[in-house]
Amino acid sequence: MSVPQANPTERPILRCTGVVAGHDGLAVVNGLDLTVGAGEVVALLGANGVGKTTTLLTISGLIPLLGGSIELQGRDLEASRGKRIGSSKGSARSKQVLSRARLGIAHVPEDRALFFDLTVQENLRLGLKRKKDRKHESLASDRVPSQVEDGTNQAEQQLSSSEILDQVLGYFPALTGLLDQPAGLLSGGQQQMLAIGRGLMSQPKLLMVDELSLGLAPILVEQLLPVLRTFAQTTGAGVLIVEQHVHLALAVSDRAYLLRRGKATLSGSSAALSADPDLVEAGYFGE
Amino acid sequence: MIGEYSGFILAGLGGGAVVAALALGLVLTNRATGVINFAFGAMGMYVAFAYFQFRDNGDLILPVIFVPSRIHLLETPTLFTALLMAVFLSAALGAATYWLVFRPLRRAPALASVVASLGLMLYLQEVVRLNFPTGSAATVVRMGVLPERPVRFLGTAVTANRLLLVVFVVLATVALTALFRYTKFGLQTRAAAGSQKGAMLVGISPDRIGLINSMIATVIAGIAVILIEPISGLDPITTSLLVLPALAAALLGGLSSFTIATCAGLGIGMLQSLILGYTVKPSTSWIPDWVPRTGLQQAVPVILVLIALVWRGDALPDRAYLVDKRLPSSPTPRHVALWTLLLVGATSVALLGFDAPHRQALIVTMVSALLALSIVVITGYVGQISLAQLAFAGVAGFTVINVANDGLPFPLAALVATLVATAVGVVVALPAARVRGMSLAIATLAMAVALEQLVLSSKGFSGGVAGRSAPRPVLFGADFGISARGADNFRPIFGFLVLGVLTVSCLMVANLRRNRTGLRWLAVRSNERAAAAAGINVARSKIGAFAVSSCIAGLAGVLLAYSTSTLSTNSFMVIGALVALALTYLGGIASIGGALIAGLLAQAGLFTLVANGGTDGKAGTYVFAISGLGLIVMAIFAPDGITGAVRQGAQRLQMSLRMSGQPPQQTALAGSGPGAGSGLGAGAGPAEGEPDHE
Amino acid sequence: MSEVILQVRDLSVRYGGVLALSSVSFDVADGQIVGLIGPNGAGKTTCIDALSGFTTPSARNPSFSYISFLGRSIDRLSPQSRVRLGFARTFQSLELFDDLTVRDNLRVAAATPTWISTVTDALWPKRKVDAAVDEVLELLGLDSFAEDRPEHLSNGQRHLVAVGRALVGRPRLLLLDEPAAGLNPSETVELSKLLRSLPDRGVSVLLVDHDMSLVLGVCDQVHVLDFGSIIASGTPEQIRSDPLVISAYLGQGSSGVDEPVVGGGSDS
Repeated sequence: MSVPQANPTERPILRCTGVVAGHDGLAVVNGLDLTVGAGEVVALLGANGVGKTTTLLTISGLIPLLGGSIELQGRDLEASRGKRIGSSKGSARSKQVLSRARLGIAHVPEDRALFFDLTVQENLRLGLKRKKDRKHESLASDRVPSQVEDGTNQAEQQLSSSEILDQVLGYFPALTGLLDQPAGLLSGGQQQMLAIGRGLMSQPKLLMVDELSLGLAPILVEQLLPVLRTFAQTTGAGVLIVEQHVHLALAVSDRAYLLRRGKATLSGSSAALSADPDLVEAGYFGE
Repeated sequence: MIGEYSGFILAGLGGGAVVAALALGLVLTNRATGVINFAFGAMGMYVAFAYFQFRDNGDLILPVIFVPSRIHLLETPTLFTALLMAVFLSAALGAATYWLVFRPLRRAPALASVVASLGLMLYLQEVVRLNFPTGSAATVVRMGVLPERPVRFLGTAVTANRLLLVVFVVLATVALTALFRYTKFGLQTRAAAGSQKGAMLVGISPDRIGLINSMIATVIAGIAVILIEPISGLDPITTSLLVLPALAAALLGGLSSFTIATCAGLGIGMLQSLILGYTVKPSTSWIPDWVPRTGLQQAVPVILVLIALVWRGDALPDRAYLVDKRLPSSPTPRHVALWTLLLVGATSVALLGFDAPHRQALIVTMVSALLALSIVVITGYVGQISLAQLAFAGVAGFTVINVANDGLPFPLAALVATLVATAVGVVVALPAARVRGMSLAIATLAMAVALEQLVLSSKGFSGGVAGRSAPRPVLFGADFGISARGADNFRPIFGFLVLGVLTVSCLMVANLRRNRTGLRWLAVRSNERAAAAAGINVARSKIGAFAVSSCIAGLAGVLLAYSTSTLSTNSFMVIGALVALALTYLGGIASIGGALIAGLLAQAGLFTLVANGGTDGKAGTYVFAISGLGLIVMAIFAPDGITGAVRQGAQRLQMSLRMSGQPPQQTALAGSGPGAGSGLGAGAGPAEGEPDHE
Repeated sequence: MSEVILQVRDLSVRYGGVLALSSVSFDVADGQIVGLIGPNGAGKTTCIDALSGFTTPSARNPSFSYISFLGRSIDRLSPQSRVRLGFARTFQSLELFDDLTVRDNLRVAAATPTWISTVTDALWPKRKVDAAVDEVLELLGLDSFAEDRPEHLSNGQRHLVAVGRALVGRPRLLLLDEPAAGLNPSETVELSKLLRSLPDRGVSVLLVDHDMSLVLGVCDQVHVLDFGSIIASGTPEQIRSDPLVISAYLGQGSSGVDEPVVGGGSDS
C-alpha cells in the first residue's frame, strides 16, 4: 500500500504532550504524547481499558485534562479557557466541549450519540457550525495557514450549508435516500455513516472516531474506513481513530500508536507495524 | 342523549384548557430538561396572584421572605402593562427555578428532583399565603382578562372566556409544535433531549436550551392560570394541585407530544364536567351511595394515568438505564439497644413531665415518626418513591373507627385495620413491579388521589366532611384513651401506647434492615439488574417492602384515629402526603433516625411548638416556607438529610482526630477504586465506627 | 467427556437494526471451563445477557430449545429463576451494591428467600453469619475487607467481590463477563489460578474476555466470536494456530498460518 508519509512534526493539527486524564480524578491515561498531522490518519490501538477512549474524551473536553497539554493547530485548548478546569463541574465541562466543537474538533463517540428521534437530515444539519463560528474560523485560518497547499480549504469555508450537506452526502451516498428517515430506524452501518457524517458537517480540523467497527459487519467496515482516509487527504484535516480490529486500523492509517497502561509504548508508521505483527502482539498483550 | 350533556361538556372546556396548558408546560420542561416539575401548578398560581395584585394597584409582590417583597411599580396599571408584567415575571420565575433548582439536579436521582419540586411547591404556596392578602381580608379586585358574556356554540350557551381559553391553548400548542418542528431552536431542543452528549459534541449548550424552554413553559402556565381565575377561582392549594390532572394529560402524551397532551387535557376537563353532570342527575341511581360523586370526577383522570404508566412499563430496566446515580446512604443500624434505651427513657420522662400542650405535640411527633418510618422503608430502603403512604394511613384510620364502632374490641380492631392497610399497600405495589423512578412517584400519587377521592371521601366510610370518632381504646379494663378534662387531656397512658408501637416498629425495621430482607431491599434499590443476577425476585421484593411499609403506615393511621376526637378526610389529603415525604427526606430518608427527626419537624409536632413558643408564634409563620426552601437546598446539597449531615460531621471529626499525624489524601491515591476524592464533600471516610441512630 | 450441562443452539439476538448475535451454538460440559473470546462489540456480553435471561433471543420458536440447562429448556425463565437452577453471572462493569459492605454483597446472594423470611427477619435481631459467605470470603482472600464497602477497595479486589457474589449461591455454571478488564498482570494471574480451581468445587465456567492470554491459559475449550458469529472453536492450541482467529485479531500481514502467534502449538 502506498501511503504518502506526512511529516507530523512540522505543524501538527493536534499535539498532545504528557497528557494525564481519567475519570473521577484517577488517571487512566498517564503521560501520553501524541501528534496528528495535517492530512494524516492516526490509529490508537491497545487492549480494553488502556485509555484509548479516555484520550478521545479528553481531547473533545468531555472529561477533564488532569495534566499535560493539548494543542489544536498550535493553540493550547486549556489555556483558551483562561484558566484550567480540573474538576468536572457540569456547566464548566459543557462549555469546554462547546468551545472545542466550535474550534473544529469533531468527535464520533463509541455510542455514536445520535439523535434517534430526529431525521437523518436534521442530525446532519445539527452538525453544521454556527455561521458566526464559520466566519471566525476563516479569519483564524488566515493567520494560521493550513499545511495543505491545494487551496480548497479556503474555498470550503465559504460554502453554504446546502453545499456542505452535498459534500458530506458525497462521502456517504447511501444516506441520500434516507434523509427523511428517523435516525433510530437506520441499520447499524447507516447509523455509523450518519455519526461520521454529522461530524464532517462541521468541517472539522480534527475528526476523531471511536470504534468505528463496533457492531458492524466486516464488509461495511471495509467500506467506511477508507472514507476517513479520503476525507483527510482531500481536506487536509487530521483524523484520529480508535480501533480494536488491529489489521483494519493498520490498513487505513498512516501511523499508529499502541497504548498500554495509559502510555504509548509503541508507535510508528502503520506499514512498518503491519510488517511486524510480533511486535504489535507483544505490545498488545504485554508478553 | 349527548345533547343532554353538551352543556356540561362545554362548561368543562375552561377547566380542560388550563389542565391542557399546564400539561403543555410539563411536556415542554420534560423534553428540554428531563425533569417533571410537581411545582408547575404552584408556579402558575403565584404568577396569577401577582398579576391580579398588580392589575389592581400596580404593586409587584415578589416570592421572597424576610425581605420586603412589595414593589410599587405603576400608578395606573392597564390590562396591557399587567399582562406584560405577568409575562416577564413568569419568564423570570421559570429561569430562576431552572437555574437554581433543576439544573443542579440534572444528574440527580428522581427522588431528589421530586423532593426539590415539592419543596418549591410548598415554598410558593406559603409565600403566597404570607405575602398576598387572602381570604376574607382580600382587598384585591380580581379583574378578569377575557369577556364573560355567554355565546352560543354548537347550539349550547357557553361563556366566551371558556372558548377563548381553548383558543389560547390551541394556539400555544400549534406554536410549540411549529417551534419544535421548524426552527433551529426546536431542532436543538429535540436533539438535546435525545442525546445530551451528542448535543454538546455538535456545539449545543444544554443549559441554554433548558433555560429558554423553562421560561416559555412558565409563561404558558402563568397566563393560563390568570385566564382561568374567573371560572375556577384562585387558591394557593387547589390551584397548585391542578398539576395532577395536568400530569395525567402529559403522561398520556408520553411526556413528549404537545398535541396529545393538549387533547388529553381538554378531554379530562370535559370528562370531569360530564361525570359531574351525570352523577348529579337524580336519574343516575346505579352508582351506589358510598361512592362520592365529586370523587369520581377527580379519580377518573388519575386512573387513566395509572393505566398509561403500567402499560408502558417494563419488568427490568434495560442495559442503558442509569444506575450510577448516588442515592442517600443507608448505614446499618448500630448500637440499637443503646439508642432504644436512651430514646424510650427520654420520651417516658417527657410524657410524665410535660404539660398538656407539650404532651400533645409529643404524641403528634411520635405518630408522624411512624408514618415517616413507613416512608423510610419503601423509599429509603427500596428506592420506590411512594406518595400513597398517607392514604394507607387514612384507610386504616377509618377502618379502625368503623370496625370498633361495630363492636370489635380495641386491639382486634386495630389489627384488622392494619391488615386492611397492608392489603391495600400490596395492591398499590403491583404497578411498582413494572414502573420505576419518577413514573412510580406519579403512579403512587395517582393511587393516593384515587383512594382519597373514592374511598376516604366516601360518606359511608369516613362520614364525609363531618368525619367520625373512634371509641376509647380499652384493653383488659385499662383505658388507653387520649382525652381527659382540662390539664389532664392528652393522657400520658395513650402516649405510652404510641411509644410502645413506635418502639416495636422501629426495632422490627432495624432487624429487617440488618437481616437479608433489608440487604435484598438495598440491592434492589442500588441495581435491579444485579439484584436479579443475585437471584432476587425483584418484583416480589418490592411487593414485600410495600406490605411492610403500608402495615406501618396503617399503624400510624390507627393511632391517629384514636388520638383525635374526630377523624376527617382532611387529615389525608394528597398535599399532606407530599409534605410527609418531604419531611422524611429532610430528616434522612434512608435511616430510622431520619424518620424520628421527620416526626419532630412535623406540623404541630414538638419542633413547631417549641419554635412558636420561643418566638411568639412568629417562627410558625415561616416554618413551611423555610422547610420548602430547606428541601430544595437539601435535595441539591445534602441528599442524606439531617441524620446524614450529622453522621458526616461526626465522621469528619473522628477522622481529623485520628489522622492528625497522617497525610489526609490516602484514599485518592490508594488506587483504582472509583469515586474517591470527588463529589460534594461526600466524606468518603472509612466505613467502620459510624455512629448511628437506631 | 462428562455430561453436558449447558447446551446453546442457534441463539440469535437483535438490537434495533443490529444482529448482535447470529445463530450461535456451543456446549459447556460439567467441570469444563469454556472461553468465549472476541473483540469489542463481537457479541460476548449479549451472549451472557441472553444466557442469564437479561435479553430475549430474537428468534423464538416455542417448540425449539435455544438454551438448555441440565437437560431442560430455560428459554422462558426469568433471571432469578435461572439463578435458582444454578446459574450465576458477573457483569463487565461489576455492578456491585455500593451501599452494602463486602460481606453483605455476598449475603444478598447467599440464599433464596421465602415469604415467611420477611416476618422472621423482622423478629430476629441479627442472624448468625452464613457459613457459605465465610467460606467464599476466605477462598477469595477477602476476609480482611469483609466489613468495608466496595468503593474503598482496589479494582482487583472489587473484581473478586463480583466473582464472590456469583459463587456464594453455589452455582453449577458461572458466567464471567470480562473478569480481567482493568486488572494488572499479577492480579490476572491470581484470577486465572482461582478460575482453574473452580471445576474441583463443582462449578463449570463460561469465561468471556478479549484477553487472549487469560482465555487461552485457563480454558478447556474456546470459541471465537466476531461480528456476532462463532468463527472458530477448539482447544486453546487449535485456536492459537487458527488462521481466521489470527486475522480477526491481528493484521493480514501475520496470516502466515504456519507461524503461530503465541507460543508453539502442541496439537491435539
